[in-house]
Amino acid sequence: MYEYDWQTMLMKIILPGLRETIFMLVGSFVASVIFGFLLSLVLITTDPKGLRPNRAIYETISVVINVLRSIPFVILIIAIIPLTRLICGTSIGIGPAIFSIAVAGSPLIARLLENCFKEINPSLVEAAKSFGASDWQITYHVIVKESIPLVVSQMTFAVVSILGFTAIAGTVGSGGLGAVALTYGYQNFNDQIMYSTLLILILIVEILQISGNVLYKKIK
Amino acid sequence: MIEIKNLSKTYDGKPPVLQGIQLRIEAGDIYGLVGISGAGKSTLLRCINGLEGFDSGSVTVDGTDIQTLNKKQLRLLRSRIGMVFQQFSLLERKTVYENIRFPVKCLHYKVKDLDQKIREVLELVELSDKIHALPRSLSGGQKQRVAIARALITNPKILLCDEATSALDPNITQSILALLRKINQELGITIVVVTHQMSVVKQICNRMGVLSEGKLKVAGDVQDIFLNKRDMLDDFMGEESNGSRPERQTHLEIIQRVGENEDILSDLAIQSGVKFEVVWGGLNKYRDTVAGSFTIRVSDEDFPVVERHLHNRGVEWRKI
Repeated sequence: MYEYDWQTMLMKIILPGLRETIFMLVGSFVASVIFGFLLSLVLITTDPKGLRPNRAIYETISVVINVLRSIPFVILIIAIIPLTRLICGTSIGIGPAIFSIAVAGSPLIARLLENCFKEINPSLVEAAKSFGASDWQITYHVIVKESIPLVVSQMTFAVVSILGFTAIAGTVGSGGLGAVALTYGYQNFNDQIMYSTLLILILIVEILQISGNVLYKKIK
Repeated sequence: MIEIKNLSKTYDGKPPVLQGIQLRIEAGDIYGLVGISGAGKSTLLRCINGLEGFDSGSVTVDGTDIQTLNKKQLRLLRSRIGMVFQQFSLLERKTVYENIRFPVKCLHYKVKDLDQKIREVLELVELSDKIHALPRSLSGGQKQRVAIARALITNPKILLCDEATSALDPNITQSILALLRKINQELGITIVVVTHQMSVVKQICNRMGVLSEGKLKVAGDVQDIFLNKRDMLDDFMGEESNGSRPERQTHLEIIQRVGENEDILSDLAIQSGVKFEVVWGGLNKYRDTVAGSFTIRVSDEDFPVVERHLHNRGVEWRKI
């Protein structure tokens, strides 16, 4: 094991790792929310009990989501390397990591949001129909807007899961705190780095969870 | 105002939900649709504003056959038919004001003095002080008042109420019924009420239809049905049934309208000399009129005497 002094460890190893993790987290979370939200809208609309039921579309998307969700992320990220290369040009670094994480994160968020939207009391939708609201108005004003508090708490859950994905991405060349913990902590037996990384990750999760809870309380 | 002709509706492989419904609701009516749950009354109500489709027959609202309308025209028609639900169906994250404004916003109507209009309907439902409250801070009765205000904001000609008072306490129910009555009288809005509560029909409806297993069993004047076609209501009059009946005795229900035959019972006792027992009795209010109803028990041997006496006096009665 190679000993580092505190300053080198922090400035050269941990902080750059933290920076990469934050980039990956923000990038992949935003991408996953965008795609997941669009998918969830299609799901909730084409649902057999939705505003415009369409079995073919609903089942197709549903199966794709189930397939992606049933593959453990550590396997999925390796399995899609050819696709990642095709789209990003390389499979190493933060960009490809964001893409890979979004492939796993979008279906996760799509399902979470779909479940939020399903919680809306059908009589609200019916009431909106009864005074002449269009499908789009019902989706936006009733289904989405009325779900916002639940969406916030579910997205807090999702962002923590995605933080987990960023660490896994670290094993296949994305960088970030996961890679730091793996290469320095595990492969180089450096407990100092191992547990510092751990502490930082716990802190990040706490901050995310607390902010999520505060936001939830504020808008409920 | 609303004419339903030969309407039928079936879901695949199930017994028909509605079968050959013929119904006419005149402008200014408060029309009660009653039946036990599953009788099809809510489905029938939703056929009126096109929330539910149907397989055959026709629904004509204010001269328009709703099946001829395209999606956009149907939306416009719905805006002229207000609807109120059992669960109030208010948007929880919007204030009372925003909830009432929502239908207007959806239709992109340019309503002059919308703000003023919202305050007016709130005043009508007596909730002016709650204008900026969130629904979750309101009681059930207040929520239903907001829902009624929301239904009125587009100046509908018809108001559909789907079990509007079923989730409310009896005294709150009273105040909501009074409000519906006021809306009917002051604004001239035709109201269709779906309910399983007989008391609701008795209090506010002038005409009613009884649904059972998707068929219209009887329709007509409320008082007439309660007094003369009571057997049609037996399915859901459980609360008012007469309990167990000893054998070898006959039960009669005698109907007494205000101002006529006021001493039926004492005359029956004195003139026919028959012994009888009053099992149940009371006055019932039908909207604004009152009619008495007494159930008496006589032995089978005495029954012909009683029958003759009642017939001679021209009293309304029936055997139960």
